[in-house]
Amino acid sequence: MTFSSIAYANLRSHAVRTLATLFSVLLAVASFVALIGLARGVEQSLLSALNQRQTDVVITEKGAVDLISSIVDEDLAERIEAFDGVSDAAAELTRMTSLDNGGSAVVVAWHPGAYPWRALTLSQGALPDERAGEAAVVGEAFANRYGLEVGDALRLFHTDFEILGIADSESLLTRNLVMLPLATAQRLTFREGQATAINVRLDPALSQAGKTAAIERLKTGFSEYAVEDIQALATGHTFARIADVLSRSIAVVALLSAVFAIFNTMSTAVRERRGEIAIMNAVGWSRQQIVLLILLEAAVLSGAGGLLGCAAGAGVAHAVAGWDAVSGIVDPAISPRLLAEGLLISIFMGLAGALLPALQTTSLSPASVLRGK
Amino acid sequence: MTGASSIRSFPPKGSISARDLVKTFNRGSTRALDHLDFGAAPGEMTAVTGPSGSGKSTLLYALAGLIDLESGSVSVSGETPRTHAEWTRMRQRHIGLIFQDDWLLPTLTCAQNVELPMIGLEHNQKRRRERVDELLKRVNASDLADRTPAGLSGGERQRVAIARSLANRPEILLADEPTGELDSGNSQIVMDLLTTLSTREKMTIVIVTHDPRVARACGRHFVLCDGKGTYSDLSSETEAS
Ligand SMILES: Nc1ncnc2c1ncn2[C@@H]1O[C@H](COP(=O)(O)OP(=O)(O)OP(=O)(O)O)[C@@H](O)[C@H]1O
Ligand SMILES: [Mg+2]
Repeated sequence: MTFSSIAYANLRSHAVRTLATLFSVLLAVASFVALIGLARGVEQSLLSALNQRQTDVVITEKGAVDLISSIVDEDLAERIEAFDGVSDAAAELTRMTSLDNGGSAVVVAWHPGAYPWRALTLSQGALPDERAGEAAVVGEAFANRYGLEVGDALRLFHTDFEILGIADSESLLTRNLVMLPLATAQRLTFREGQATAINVRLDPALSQAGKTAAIERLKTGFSEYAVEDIQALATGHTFARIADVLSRSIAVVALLSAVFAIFNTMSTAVRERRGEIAIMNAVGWSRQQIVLLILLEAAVLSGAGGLLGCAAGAGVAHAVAGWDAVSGIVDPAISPRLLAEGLLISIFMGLAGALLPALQTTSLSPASVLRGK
Repeated sequence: MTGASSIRSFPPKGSISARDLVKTFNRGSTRALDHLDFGAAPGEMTAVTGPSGSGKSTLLYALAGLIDLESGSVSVSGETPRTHAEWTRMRQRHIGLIFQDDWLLPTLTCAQNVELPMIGLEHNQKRRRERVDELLKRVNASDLADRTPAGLSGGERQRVAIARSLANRPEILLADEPTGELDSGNSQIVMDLLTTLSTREKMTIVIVTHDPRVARACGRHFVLCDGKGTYSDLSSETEAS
């Protein structure tokens, strides 16, 4: 028999109470893992889409709250391309639109021949050329979801588009995109001459330091615009920031409620076991040992809840990411680090919730408890 | 009754003595111990008797360091513990405790209950288990080792509790009405056990009891009344009755 087997026996003897508390820890840790994982996933999916596109810098309207509401002049791309250290620049128009079948689509548009088109890997069909009008390339996941093939029609902006090609990509966002020729998209969304962003590819021959310097020069040269490297864009983006703050606050509430559940369980346990605690003290267990035993019980309980919560959270995040409303936007980023954080937090919660009840045991007077039941 | 002085001097190991103990309850209105002196020599078996509420249990808990006293001091095997930590160590190594209720932990088996006091003192699991076997055999409860206390009779439970009190080979055993809940057959078994411990192993035993038969089994007799105590020579008293 060891310390932990006593703790385990105590937990097992109140199976229902133990399971109920374990479940509340599980829920708290699951929401922490799922929410933080999804929020980070928003950043990750944007970042990997931009990476796949070989974009280093994105230039948007200064002060725009998100990528979609930004407006810049499409001719800005030419001025930027002429800039020292820049290899390519492409005007991009991004819209989110609903589909006739109730789903939604993220639509991006570039001029045919622009570098983001060239960065695509097509699994079927071809890219639009200069003369293309109502033509689209869709990501493979998008095509699969709606059963689309090359030559099929896709209705967007009240217009039928012909699917020219299907693109495969490492990036979940790209796999779910609808890509159009810029001029067509501008005309159908009444944004002639406008773009939402300029995608910039720096000279691939530049060193990392050279790239950083080029970005700095772009920032000074185009100070009336928001010039951001893609890392800053992904994390600093309002959408990502809101997701981050929201997920954190909900997770904190869930975690605090679990601390309270543990507090409640452990104080009930301590109250019920006054006699046992008194007898342990009477047979020579020190107060510290008794406090440790109570803390250990809480840590075992919350640690088990945390483990299950990590698994449940990862499962929930992947399930949520598969929902039609968000699929293609969010790729849950459940890293081992996030799981370790979830587990550590759960154990910490257990200790925090059990501390007061554990310390209460030291103020029990064994004699008054043991003198008779 | 002899009014002999209750303070004597003993060789330290196994002796227990108390001087000038004062313990009040209810903001001083109840004097459970009123400047009480008590002493027991190594190997002695003392019965503490007296009317209900006279302070018997309070004395026993004071001897075990389980209550905070207003004044007075207790010496165990020549040491005078003062802090909670010192008392805990004292109970762990030198004092075994038995109560009217057995206070076995319901979540543990009988063997684990007996093992409980050894945790923190004997770190070798195998030696602990051997000691548990030996103790359960001693109280004739070997067959109860793997059972939990729930289904056991009062006599069986009290025997296991006695085994637990002996776990760390204490020199002193303090018992508060150990037969209070038992029928006469089981009382006899428990008393035979305690008597053997006193005579064969020279353990110092203090038993609080209401039962004259239990008191008669003890060599010395300490009578409490209103928090004050006197010794009476029991052997002459018993022979006279
Ligand atoms: N925790 C306590 N709070 C209040 N009063 C107490 C407490 N413990 C003991 N007393 C009082 O102290 C006095 C002595 O109590 P104690 O339990 O020592 O008596 P006792 O001789 O063991 O009695 P009994 O034979 O009924 O067990 C009694 O008046 C009792 O009510
Ligand atoms: Mg009593």
